Amino acid sequence: MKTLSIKKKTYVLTVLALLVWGILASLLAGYYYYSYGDVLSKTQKPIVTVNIGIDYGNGTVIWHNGTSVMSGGTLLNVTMLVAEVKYTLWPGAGAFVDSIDDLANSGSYYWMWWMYTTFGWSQGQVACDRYIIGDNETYYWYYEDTSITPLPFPP
Amino acid sequence: MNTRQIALLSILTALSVAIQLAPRLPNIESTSLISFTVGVVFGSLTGAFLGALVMFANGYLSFWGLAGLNMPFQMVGMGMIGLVGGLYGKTIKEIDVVSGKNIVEVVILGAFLTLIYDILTNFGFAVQLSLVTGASLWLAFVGVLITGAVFAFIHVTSNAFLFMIAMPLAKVMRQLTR
Repeated sequence: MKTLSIKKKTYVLTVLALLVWGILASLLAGYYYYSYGDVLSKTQKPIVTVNIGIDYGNGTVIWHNGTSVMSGGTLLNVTMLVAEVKYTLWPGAGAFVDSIDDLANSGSYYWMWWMYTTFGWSQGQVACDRYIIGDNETYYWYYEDTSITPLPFPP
Repeated sequence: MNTRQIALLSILTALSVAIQLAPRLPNIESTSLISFTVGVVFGSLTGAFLGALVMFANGYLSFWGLAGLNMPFQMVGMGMIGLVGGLYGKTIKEIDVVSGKNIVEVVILGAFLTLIYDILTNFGFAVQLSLVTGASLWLAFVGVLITGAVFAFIHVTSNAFLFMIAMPLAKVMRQLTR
């Protein structure tokens, strides 16, 4: 960069700025295209039926299979139908579950949510109030030790 | 390196780790700004080392959980920001003179470097995801890039604003260590 003339430096910076704009705009377009398709496919039916497992970390797992709710609901909505949930809303990030059925996050033990996919169990990538549930999906709330890497999968 | 410089670098490293570990909004951070500015003032090697060291500590202690396999990618990404800060510092005749032109240049560089950092760490996350789920690496990478697009946008725009103070900060650092 030291040898670049002012004109060349301006040119390089302009190209970088356009590159940032182009890549970010493309990624956002991809995100909204994907999100739109996802929501559309999940709201085809008025009622969706899901399975929810709650693992209390002490060997007790309670399954709420065939739980039916209105389509467009979130994982938080459906979890609150089957258990007592306390949560904190974080601006920009969504709901952070503090406790389920009075079992609160403690030390390195937190409530994590998982979903069963074609690749097996997959860790929830967004806050539970940001995830719109789909028909016949299976979720698992796991009270687990988050200090372990990679995070232990549901049994 | 004199005593003042060592003291300032120690404080900045501790400050960066503390900010990284403090509960904060996702993808809003100041380590990039500090690594870049340290690179401008103290050179590429110091900037890169500070960035990588902070991400090493962050990888184990972060509020968001262990970074796992993504940690080396975070270290390389943040190290790169410090390294480019040093290279940019070499193109400036006088750090003590802050001009609008310098600020614009640094803002563009900051946005670009943040985007590269995000792409790099998303790739690291995709490697982890691919190993855990058995999914194809490229499929996982595209998926992570798309689902993380909003976070990337927040990161790039917030850093573009933060980098506006990089050159005034560099000037203050230079004056403190004289």
